[in-house]
This record gives sequence, C-alpha cells and structure tokens, in this order.
Amino acid sequence: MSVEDEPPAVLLRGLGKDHASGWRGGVVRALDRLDMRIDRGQVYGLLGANGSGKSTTLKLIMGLQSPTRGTCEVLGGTPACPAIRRRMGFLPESPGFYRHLTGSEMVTICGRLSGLQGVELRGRVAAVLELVGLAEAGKLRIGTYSRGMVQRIGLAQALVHDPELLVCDEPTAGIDPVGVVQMMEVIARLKASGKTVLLTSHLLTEVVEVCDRVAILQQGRLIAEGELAGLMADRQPEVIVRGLGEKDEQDLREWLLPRGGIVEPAGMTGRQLQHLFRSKTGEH
Amino acid sequence: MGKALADRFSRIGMIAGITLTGAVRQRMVLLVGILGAGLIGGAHYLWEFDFGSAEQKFLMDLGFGTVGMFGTLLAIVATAQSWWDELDGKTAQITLARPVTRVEFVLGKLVGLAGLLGFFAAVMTTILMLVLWWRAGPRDAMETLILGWTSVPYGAISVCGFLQWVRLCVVAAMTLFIASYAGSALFTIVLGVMFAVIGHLQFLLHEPGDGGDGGIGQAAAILIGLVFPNFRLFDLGGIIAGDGQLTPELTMGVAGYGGLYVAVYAALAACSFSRRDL
Repeated sequence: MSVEDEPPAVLLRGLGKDHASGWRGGVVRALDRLDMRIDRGQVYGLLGANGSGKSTTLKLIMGLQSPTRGTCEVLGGTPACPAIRRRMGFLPESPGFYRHLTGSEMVTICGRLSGLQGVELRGRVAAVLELVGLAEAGKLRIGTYSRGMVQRIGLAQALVHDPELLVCDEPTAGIDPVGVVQMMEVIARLKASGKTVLLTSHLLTEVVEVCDRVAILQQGRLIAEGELAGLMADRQPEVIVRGLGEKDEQDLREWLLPRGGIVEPAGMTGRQLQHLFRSKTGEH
Repeated sequence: MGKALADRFSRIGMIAGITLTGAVRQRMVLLVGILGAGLIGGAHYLWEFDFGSAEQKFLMDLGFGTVGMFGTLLAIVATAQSWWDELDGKTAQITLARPVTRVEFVLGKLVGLAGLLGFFAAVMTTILMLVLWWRAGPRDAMETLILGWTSVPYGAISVCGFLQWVRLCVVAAMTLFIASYAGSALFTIVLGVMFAVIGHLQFLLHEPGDGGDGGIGQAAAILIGLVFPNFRLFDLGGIIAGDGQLTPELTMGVAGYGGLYVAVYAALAACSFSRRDL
C-alpha cells in the first residue's frame, strides 16, 4: 500500500457526543456533527475555549468515550479495537501517575502494556526519557516531580511504543517557557520523522509554530478549519515596524490615514516575551 | 491464540501488580492492619467479656470476627480508593488508551485487591494461630477443663482463614461493581457498606416465618437471596470452636459459592465499566 492509499490518520464523520445531565434525563451536547480529516504526517491543532469540545473530541478519538452519533475512524479502524490503540499514543490533560513509582518504572510499565518487551523495551524507555530530558530524573519517584516533569513523563509514556499517531491534550499546560519550547521541539521532531500529531492548546503562538492545520471549536461545533495560511488569508495584513523616530512615525501616520490604514502600538507579543525570558535566564 | 492469551494475562498481572503496590501504601490499610492485629493479639485480655464462653471458643470467635469486620472495611475502602485514584488521577485513561480492554482492567484491579486481602487474611489468621498456640501451652487437666481447651485445630483454622479471604473477595467484587458506575468514592463506600450489611443479614431470609407470606414478599426474598450473597455461610469458625468437623465438601461448597459471586460481580463490573465514558 503506497502512502497515498493509506487511510487518513483520523477521519470523523458527523461525530457527536451528548452527556446526560441531572436526574430528569437532561442532555448536554458536548460535540455536534463534527467532520474532520487529519492526514498522515500532519501536525493538527484543535483550538477553542474551555468547554468547546476539544477534550471530548480527543477522548472519542482515543476510544475513551463512545460517540452518541457519527463515526470515528482512526488509522483505518475503530479506536475501540486494541490493535488500533497499540499504534496510538495519548497524553491527557494534567496527567497523574503512580507516585510511588519512578519515572523510568512508569514508562516501562506503559511500554509493557503496549506490548514491548526485553531489550527493545529497555532501549525505547532510555530513548524517550532522553528525548524529554529526564534521563537522570527518571530514577526518582514521581511523587518528587514538579508539574512540568510530570508532563514530560506523560509525553515519554505516550511515545514509548513509537506510535504512528500522538494525541496530546494541552501538552504545554503547567510547563515553564523553556519546557514549552522543548515540548514544541519534540513535536517538530516527530513531524520530521513522519508521525501524525493531534494537539489542543491555549497557547496560540505555539500552535502557529508547529501546526500544519488547525480547527477551531466553539460550543461543540466546528467554526473554522484549514491550513493556517488559508485561515489568515482573509485578514488584512498587519505590519510591525521597529525603530521609527517620532517624526518618521508622524509621517507614516499622515501617509496611512487617507489610505484607510492606522498606526497603533503593538505592545509586547508572546514571542518577544519568550525571547526576553530566554535571554535573561540564559536558557535555550 | 496462545500468545494473545499470554499477553492478556500479562496485562492483567501488570495492572494487578500496580494495584497491589499502590493499595499497600494506603494509610487506611496500615491502620486497619494494625488495629486488627492488635485486637487479635490482645484477645486474651478481653476474655472477661466472654459471656461464659470457653477461652478457645472466645479467641476464635473474636479472631474470625475481627478478620471479617476489619477485612470487610478494608475490602470496601481499599477498593473504592484504588479505583477512584485511577479515575481521578487519569492513570485509567493512560492505561486504557493502550491495547488494554476494560475487562482486563477490571480483572487486574480485582486480582490486585484479592492479593491485598489475601495478605491481610493470612497475617490475621497467623496471629490468631500464634495466640492460640501461646494460650494452649502446657496446663494441668483441671485448668484445661475450666478454660475449655482442646487441641488447637491449626489446619481447620487455616481453612477458615481461607474462607474469610473468599468472603472478602466477594465484598471487593461487589464494591468494584458499584464503583464501575458510581460517581464518587464516597458513594461507592456508602453503597458498598450497605451491600455488605445486607449480605451479613441475608441469612434472616432463610429463617422460618421470614421472607414474606407469599406473593410479592416471597418474590422479594428470593430476589434478595440471589442478588446478595449470604455471608453467614463463610463463618465456619464456630463449627471448629464447637468441636465440629470441617468436611472437604462443606469447604469446597462455600468456596465455590463465594467464587461464583466473585465471578458474577466481576462480570457485572466489567460490563458496566465497558459502557462508561472516561
């Protein structure tokens, strides 16, 4: 089977999910007729406010919830099938682990549950701990970890069996700026190696950096979907000009005004703040 | 087929191992263990509350009563806590996002908890046997007659300890079933205690004149008798304390009865959990 013939990594058709609410048979619609396709090798961002249905979508894709309507096809099969789940990795939002185990033990157990054994298992555990920067800290108990380290162990367990599809729910939640950069680098590396990644995030700057396509959910409905460039195309370009003197700025303002343009201070962007943080702390 | 089955057992074993190592670290387990051991170990000093029983019978009644009562509490709370730690901590999501079925997950939890309860029952029964061995030391004939001592039936006591473990496994399976659809740990514990109390009182349905006067009352009695196991059947300590004999048929019958309820409640838990959204 050629790459073109392969089924998409994720194919959702009319996917819907209702949650029961209260004793009187009330229903809350968490997801409403979602159609989505994620091709192999893409990094796909799912954006939306709290309660927009992002986590529900991921759980349906992982087979942790059953759809009320529609179909969910993952890697050419149903996520209810264990053989399909063997090819997927999942990092839940704010994961918790067995605090009495070391990071290395936790990742080893996860690898064994995914069918790895012996030398292959040991090799993969060492590789993913190295990848997430916990090669040394992997020997410590998880109970002693910071939130960011727990999140990194979460990524390590999701990657230990070398999945074709990685699903991450808020992978950068609770991590410091340096950790965010490292997490994004890991995702970029996965993309380079041909893996498919589906992630949700509140940090739009990071999404822009790594995602090929994005979908925006609002109250369980898909309100926009496509490549970032396409989604941004209908917006008027905004240009940041640095280093203008007062006189030049006044001239620019006068030149733009009859043409319908405006000049306003840009303030400090997230990226500028990140650069500032990294230069001050010396972290790269 | 053989490898698939071996993989399945391996996954169940792994989940059981994590459940067991997590459960033994629960503070409540340590507390119940210390209290139970203290009560059985100090049973001799409570003999003044014997209401006229012989010492040997008193020690056995108190010992098996402690295993039953504290063990039931342990089975309910440890099961609820272990289950909700998995769900609240999202370790269940991490496990079930892998090629692990819900049935394997439930069975793994049950086996791990059965291991914990087996350890508890074994330690308590051993302490009971040590106390009996200590109290059955050399005596003259008059002292033996007054205190009501005969030779200590260690084999029969071990069998009774084993049956107590089977009973605790039934309680754990019932609690697991409740947890599989419950919305909180507290609800699980409260309903688990209710189920256990009904099971302990279920024998009343079989007493003459009880169980209704036909019709709906009779049907309700039969239904309750089927749904809830009769925990009284597992209390065979009284038989050996009264110089009775534990026959292999009786032992196997009670163990089989308990095993059947464990299987049914585990199946119900797996079925209920399979439909649950995480």
